[in-house]
Amino acid sequence: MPRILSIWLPQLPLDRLTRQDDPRLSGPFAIIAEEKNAWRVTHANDAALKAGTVAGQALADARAICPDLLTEPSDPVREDLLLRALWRWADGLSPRVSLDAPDGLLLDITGCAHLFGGEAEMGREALTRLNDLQIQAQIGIADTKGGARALARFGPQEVSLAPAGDLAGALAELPIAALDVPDKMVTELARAGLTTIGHLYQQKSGELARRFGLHLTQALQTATGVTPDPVTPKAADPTYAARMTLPEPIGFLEDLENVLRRLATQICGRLSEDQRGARRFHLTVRCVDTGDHPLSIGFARPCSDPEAVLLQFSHPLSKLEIEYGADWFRLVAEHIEPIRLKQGSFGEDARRADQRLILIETLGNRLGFDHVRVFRPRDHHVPELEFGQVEAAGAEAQWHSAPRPRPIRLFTPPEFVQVETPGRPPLNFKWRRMSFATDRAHGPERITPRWYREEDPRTRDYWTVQTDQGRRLWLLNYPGEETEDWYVAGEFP
Amino acid sequence: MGRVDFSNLPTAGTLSRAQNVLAVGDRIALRKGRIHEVTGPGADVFAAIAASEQDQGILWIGLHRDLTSLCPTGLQAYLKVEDLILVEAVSRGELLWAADQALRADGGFCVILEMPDLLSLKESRRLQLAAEQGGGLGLILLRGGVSTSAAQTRWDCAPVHADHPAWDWTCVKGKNGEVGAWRVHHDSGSLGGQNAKDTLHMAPAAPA
Repeated sequence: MPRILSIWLPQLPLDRLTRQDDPRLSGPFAIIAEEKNAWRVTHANDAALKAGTVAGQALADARAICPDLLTEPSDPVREDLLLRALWRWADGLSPRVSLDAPDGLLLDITGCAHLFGGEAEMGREALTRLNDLQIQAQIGIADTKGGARALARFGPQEVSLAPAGDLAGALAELPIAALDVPDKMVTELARAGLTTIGHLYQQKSGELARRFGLHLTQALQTATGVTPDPVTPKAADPTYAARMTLPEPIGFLEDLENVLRRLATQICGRLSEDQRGARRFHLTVRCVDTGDHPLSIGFARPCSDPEAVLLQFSHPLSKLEIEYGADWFRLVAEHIEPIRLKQGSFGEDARRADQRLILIETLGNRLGFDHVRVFRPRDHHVPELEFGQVEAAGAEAQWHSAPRPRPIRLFTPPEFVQVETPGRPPLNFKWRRMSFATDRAHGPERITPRWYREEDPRTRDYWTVQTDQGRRLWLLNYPGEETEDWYVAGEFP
Repeated sequence: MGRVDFSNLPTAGTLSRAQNVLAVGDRIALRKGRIHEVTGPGADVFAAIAASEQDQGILWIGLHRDLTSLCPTGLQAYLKVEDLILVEAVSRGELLWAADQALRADGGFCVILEMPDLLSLKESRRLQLAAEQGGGLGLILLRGGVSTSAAQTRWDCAPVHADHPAWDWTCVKGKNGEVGAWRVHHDSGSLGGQNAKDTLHMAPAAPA
């Protein structure tokens, strides 16, 4: 029989601020978030709870009850980072840990508890360690995930324990909200007089399913262990980061590059051991006087070559202004991707492909990777939609020819033409303040737009016009419109 | 891609087939490791044909409006679209920096820079030095007029009224004295067709 330990972190956002020694926490304080079109209290500290604030209350009400209340909007990203940090921390208790976002962890402690002297001792040990980290927690231990979660959240003590094999008995006293069911269903069940899980045992499951849906019976079955619900452990992704602290600050570019080389060699060594590469690197340089300076670079392909990292960082490093020196450095690799091993640069083509990618990286790091693009063909009949542009980094070069000859320049939107001698197409016209006379015209090529899309529904007639002045223009007209306007849609070479 | 034939008046000097020379057809030589300036309404197609003559990557550097009007379904008749990388800059400084980096890079890229305004002598000298270092070909499409520059040659290109697509390419400045004028014709049968070898046919001798 597996044994599951659930850690519930009820005040995680507040704990995050406590750990930062936020001075506001000494008085009434609450974390708020925008829910149901209003700012509502999601977590309140003891002083605020004593004053009458409760979770779920609108901020305006909470302020009316407790005028001294200080608040802070919730920061889901940072909270998630803290939870993930705890996820890695929980490795010390059990090798099989899974995330129970947004405010919990699930540990499969089968065969681990004796190392701590028993399950209850293990739970207390985990609680002590968490309290040392200034994090409040409640712990439930049971045979199933659902049972452990229910005990952690609604259990009688800080460490609630359901003895092996008697889960149903331990859950019987808990309210139905402890099951993984929606709030609305809890209300409906309460109306029917069912308030604790024990009440559900007395009902026939067929009746419950008919009246409240299969979801309820399934939740009950997984909680009591009738249907299996194993912990899916996922090891936290390894972080590829290295830091260096120096006894004396340094400021020369050469010294900085040496530090970076050491950090990059270490990280890239680990990356290439795992046959991985990173698409982004972040370097934090902490100056003694001006604080942290974040620098970052990107790559067109996963990279694990320290020299390439150094090369791309040389520009941002040379721009860095250091007056009194820097003494703390941290390099992090992000966007980790596996590197598919292939034959190294061998022959002309591979060398050329490398040079192309290096240039894309250099340009992309300064201009932004979205500003370095390649053309991509698309299957479409509208001239301006026959192709698209995609980021060059990571895109394979490919092109297949469009079937019809098109202009070399395409103006979207088309440019208005001042007609001087009308005709079809006009015999004399002015475009960009230049006069043109039509010599030969070829057309029309009629193109019907996509009527099933919300776009310009007009039919288009395109004419290829050779002007007396030499330029070959692509004139556009919308037939069937009241005014016969002409436009230049493009220019042939 | 493709062979380019020209007729010209007056005759240009004999073409040296040295390693560092990019031959456009039989008559026109653009030296690699140099920058060349192109003006006029036919500048796009001059750059496209010159870029296609060398088998390296092509970078087209310009502002947003220049790059969004560029149409690959038209360009495919002149160059390999898969070799083309578009680099969008948002300011004059970025344009020049990107061109400088691309010319300086290993690999001898063909760099086409759309310059919306004048290029000063100092700036063109810097680009020239970058091109010498990288060994690629720099083509600068001057949209905002010309001024004194360090470029190797300057070309004025305009489409002409003819039975087939044709252009007058006039070399108005050449550091080694290789000025001349050419009328270039395009084979109408292959205009914008498949991405196959196009041939630019020699025009009947006509004054450009």
